[in-house]
Amino acid sequence: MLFAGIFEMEKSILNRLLQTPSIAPSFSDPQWDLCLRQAQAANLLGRLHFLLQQHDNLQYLPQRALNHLAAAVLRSNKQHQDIRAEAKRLSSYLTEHGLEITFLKGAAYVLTGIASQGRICSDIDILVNKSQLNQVEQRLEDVGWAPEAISDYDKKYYRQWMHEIPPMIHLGRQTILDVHHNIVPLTAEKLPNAHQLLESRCATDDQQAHYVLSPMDMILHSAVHLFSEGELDKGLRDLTDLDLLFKHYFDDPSLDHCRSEQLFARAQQLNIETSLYYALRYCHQVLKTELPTQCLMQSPNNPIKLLILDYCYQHTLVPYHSSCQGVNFELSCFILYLRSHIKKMPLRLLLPHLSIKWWQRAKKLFVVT
Amino acid sequence: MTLILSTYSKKEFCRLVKTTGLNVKIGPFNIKLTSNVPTFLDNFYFLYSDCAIVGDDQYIDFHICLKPPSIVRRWYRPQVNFFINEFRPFKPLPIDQTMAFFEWGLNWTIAQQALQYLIIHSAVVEKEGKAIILPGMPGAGKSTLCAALVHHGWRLLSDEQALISQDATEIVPLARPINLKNQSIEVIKEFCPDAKFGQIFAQTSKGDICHVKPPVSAIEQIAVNAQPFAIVFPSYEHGLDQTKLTTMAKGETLIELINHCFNYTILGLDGFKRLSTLVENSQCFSLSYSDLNSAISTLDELY
Amino acid sequence: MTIYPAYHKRLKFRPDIAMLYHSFDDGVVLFDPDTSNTTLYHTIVLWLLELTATDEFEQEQVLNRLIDDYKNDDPMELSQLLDRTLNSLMKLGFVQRI
Repeated sequence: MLFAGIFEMEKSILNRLLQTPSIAPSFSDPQWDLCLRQAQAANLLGRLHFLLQQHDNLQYLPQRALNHLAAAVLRSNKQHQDIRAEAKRLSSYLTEHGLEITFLKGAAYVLTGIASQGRICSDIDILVNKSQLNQVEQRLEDVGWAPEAISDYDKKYYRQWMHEIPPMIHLGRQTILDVHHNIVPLTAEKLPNAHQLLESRCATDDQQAHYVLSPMDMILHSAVHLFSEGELDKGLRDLTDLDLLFKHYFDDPSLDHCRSEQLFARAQQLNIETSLYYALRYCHQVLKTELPTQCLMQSPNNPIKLLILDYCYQHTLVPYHSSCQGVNFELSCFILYLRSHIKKMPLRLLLPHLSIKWWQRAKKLFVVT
Repeated sequence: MTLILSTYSKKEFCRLVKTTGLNVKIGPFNIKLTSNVPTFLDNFYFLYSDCAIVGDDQYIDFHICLKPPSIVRRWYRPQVNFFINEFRPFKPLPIDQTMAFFEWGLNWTIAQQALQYLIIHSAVVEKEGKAIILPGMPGAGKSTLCAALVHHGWRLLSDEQALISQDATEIVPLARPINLKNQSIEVIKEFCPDAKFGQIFAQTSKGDICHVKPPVSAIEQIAVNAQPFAIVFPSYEHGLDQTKLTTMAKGETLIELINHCFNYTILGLDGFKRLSTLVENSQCFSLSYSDLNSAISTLDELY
Repeated sequence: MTIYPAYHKRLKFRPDIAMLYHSFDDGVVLFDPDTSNTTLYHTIVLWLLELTATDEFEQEQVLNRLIDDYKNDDPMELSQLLDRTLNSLMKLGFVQRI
């Protein structure tokens, strides 16, 4: 409880609003200004519009703010339209060649309408069977997709150690496609069985027949992506995705108990219980997501580690905007960065890898443009 | 009394922009400007001196910052970065082009974010409450014609972006500095002896660039919208005998305008409806000219 | 008279498209909400929309009506105009083959 007091001091105005929507009527124009700028930095402007609408709070905003939110919604809708068109092309073309793809993350949310509200999706992510990976790559290259221009070292990093091939870009449309063959890096300690994910996949409702992960697996993928991979600048955004995914999954209180059990069982089956635990814990702490009580009672064994992680996530699950940054933020980022890299690869691989990445970045500083 | 930029001494202005930032009204937008680039601050103070200052209790639409990259490039071949809400959309440019960078950056920001307006890449001028939209590809001469018109009895709404309201019945003024390139600079210096010129930026990626300060009356009437009246596609043709104003069919005009419309696709059906209404309610022409006086009197005759 | 290619048998305007147009003196502009594709067509499209927007139609029947309505025009030219227009409408997805 003492620690809760320390956390309160540095919270972003956006986080405060997300946690307690009822404070909206008290905001002044400059506070709305800051709130929207934080939301924009967190890729949450479109989503903020949806959440304000849900809580009937749009009436408290000045017209200028409403204009900016409406513009964000337009941009988001246009992106969704483009994604649906691209997904249609990808699904029908690859299915024709006997290749199966399953959409992940943002694209999946857009195609199912779950956690899609105001979502910004810059890339399309798909999961394929490792055995079909080369064919998928080849077929994509046949119709105008090409690997993004990256260094040879990065190419090797992806293929040897990661769970995805280097991103592909469509030369005409400039869409970026991430092709995954698992949901965590190959060098991670406990690898989920990608076959199990693919076996449980579901078709989207409409006749387009795209495939996405099951509702449980979508939650677990989002959880492991946020709490293992460490792309923290999208952390708050990913957390709001989880909030909406949980709300959708637990939409019937009478089924809470059995759905919780199924979710935990599945997490165990895929070796990602820890990520699920953190997803539940931090959705509840940061966004006050309503969750069944049994979800909040599970706990891993190490209370000191939990205390450190609570500190770190409280300070990093915020907009990446100067108004939300300080010493605690820098320290938390550093700890989590190290932790995520250690999870991705053992120390003997990590240290050389980090050295090469730092050298690449240092070289860029001195390039004369 | 409204506080305007020139109410502050240049020294005080520079101090504010370097420290807390200063809020300025540009067109319909509240903009917070932060910068520590001395030549840019000089230029901005001159070109925007008539603009209203906005209080700290107001909602600010765009937080813009122009500053050098933090490490090596402050001293060696100095550069400047453009930030909009701490986001950097462009690669840095040479620091002596900061004023031009601000103008381009603000154009981009408005086109990308101000989606309450249908935005047409064009000059817009007004007389008697009625506006003429002058769309044109770069090089068609619309800025030159615009500069000429606003120093001969017309009000400047914009030299670059026409902001069309939600129901397409109004055009909202921006009244920003007029961007002239290469030979146009000399042409306007001669044709408009009253015009006030900023610094010339030589050899940018777009050639020599100079900004003409908006006439003070354009800033004073910043809150007065205009009614769409005519759409005229100007085309400067060197050595042309006679100025020619040719009526354009409306369907054809609409299709052509889409090529000049930044946010048409993203506005979807609403964009189509607005553009259709605009064209329906406007007379449509193409104008070929080589003599500015003749072009101006031809446009005068429309009224 | 059969001056049309055999494959243009049964056609239908996309229901959402049939309402999304603006008519000017020099033609009709159709708008596709999925792509924002905006195209100017001969005024004959306005006539086609009024005649067939909510129903399926056969090119031959429509051609006969066209010839009937535009008595003073050359039937061959009308047929070619209709053909070109329908081809273009189909290419851009405004009209679908059934």
